[in-house]
Amino acid sequence: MKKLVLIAALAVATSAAYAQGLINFSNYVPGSGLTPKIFQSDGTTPLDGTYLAQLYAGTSASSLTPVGTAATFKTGAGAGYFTGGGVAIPLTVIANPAAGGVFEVKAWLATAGTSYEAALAAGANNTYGASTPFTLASIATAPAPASNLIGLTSFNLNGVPEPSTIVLGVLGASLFLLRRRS
Amino acid sequence: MRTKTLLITAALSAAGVATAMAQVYSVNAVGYINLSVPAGFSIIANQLDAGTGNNVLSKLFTSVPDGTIIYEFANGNYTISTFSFGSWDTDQTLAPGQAAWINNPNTSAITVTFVGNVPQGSLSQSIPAGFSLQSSQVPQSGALDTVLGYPVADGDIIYRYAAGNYVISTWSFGSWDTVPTPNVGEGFWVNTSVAKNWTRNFSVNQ
Repeated sequence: MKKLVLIAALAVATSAAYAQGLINFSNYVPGSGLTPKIFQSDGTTPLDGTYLAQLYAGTSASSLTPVGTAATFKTGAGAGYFTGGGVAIPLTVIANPAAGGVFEVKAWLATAGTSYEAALAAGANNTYGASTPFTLASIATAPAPASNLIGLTSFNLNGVPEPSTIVLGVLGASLFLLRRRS
Repeated sequence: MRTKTLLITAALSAAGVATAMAQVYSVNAVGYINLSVPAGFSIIANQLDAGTGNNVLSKLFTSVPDGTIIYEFANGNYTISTFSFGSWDTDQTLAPGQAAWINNPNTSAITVTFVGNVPQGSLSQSIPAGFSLQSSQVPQSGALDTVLGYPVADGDIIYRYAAGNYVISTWSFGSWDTVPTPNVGEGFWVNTSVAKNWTRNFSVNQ
């Protein structure tokens, strides 16, 4: 028992040795070459102020959890982009920022749910989508400026069925009807 | 950070309060600072008081390049403002004494001009324990402790950032290893173990 307490105390002391990782939660950092737009399912309509983006972080792609607060997309010329400000990654999510972490951005239609998970559960087309998880080799801590999401790539929301799928469905139904008539 | 300072060449006397026996004058010093902000990251400070409600990004940085980013630091996290498509997404305050990272997305330096009153009188700012971004409230260059009045304590570390690297000064056993001498318009990191106030009396007539 004493051993466990000691180990726990050491673990706390070790984690307290690190400062929190600091992220610039934005996909619009032209000075760093980071401008991956996020689109609706058609791949051409950028998300506007009716959509939200949330940052997910963890030490692996299978351990991602939401961090910080959701950001609203810009409208007009800035549609497709969000600038969500600074996010401090809790040490419970990434204990050692110098060792880096895995990140993902998820977006959803605000009216589809209060979170990405809610929009996903509702399952409507063109209401949610996620980036490919990407890795930052290290995450800034003070006194460095916050890390940018280098590695974030453009993505689209979940789509309506492919046109080819619809065509196949119509063809199948037509053949079925023709067969019944003959 | 190269700073061209044109300051306080004229002190404007103002009206006083007349009494039967004497007159009391207040003196304001108005000036401007042309600050050269290099490409990429630098730590800047607004050391002129633009007046109530005017020490904010939308008033101080009206013609910066698209994609300019300001980072202010408090309570272990950054508040980040991005200038994109003609406006700031978060209109943070940058008053004398505060400092912030700026990321100039251009490949060459830009010039930012601050206009306002030189802070005078009893000036005070709180410095929390740990890391914080600070600057002198007065637009003055010189040794941080002996000229600018910073209350140094054993173990204090000052980080100045220039040309992509830090110049780090540590105060230990009664002296600096490298005396920090911030320029006008320059901010810096303070890392101190104990919270304190940086208090200074300043007059343009000093």
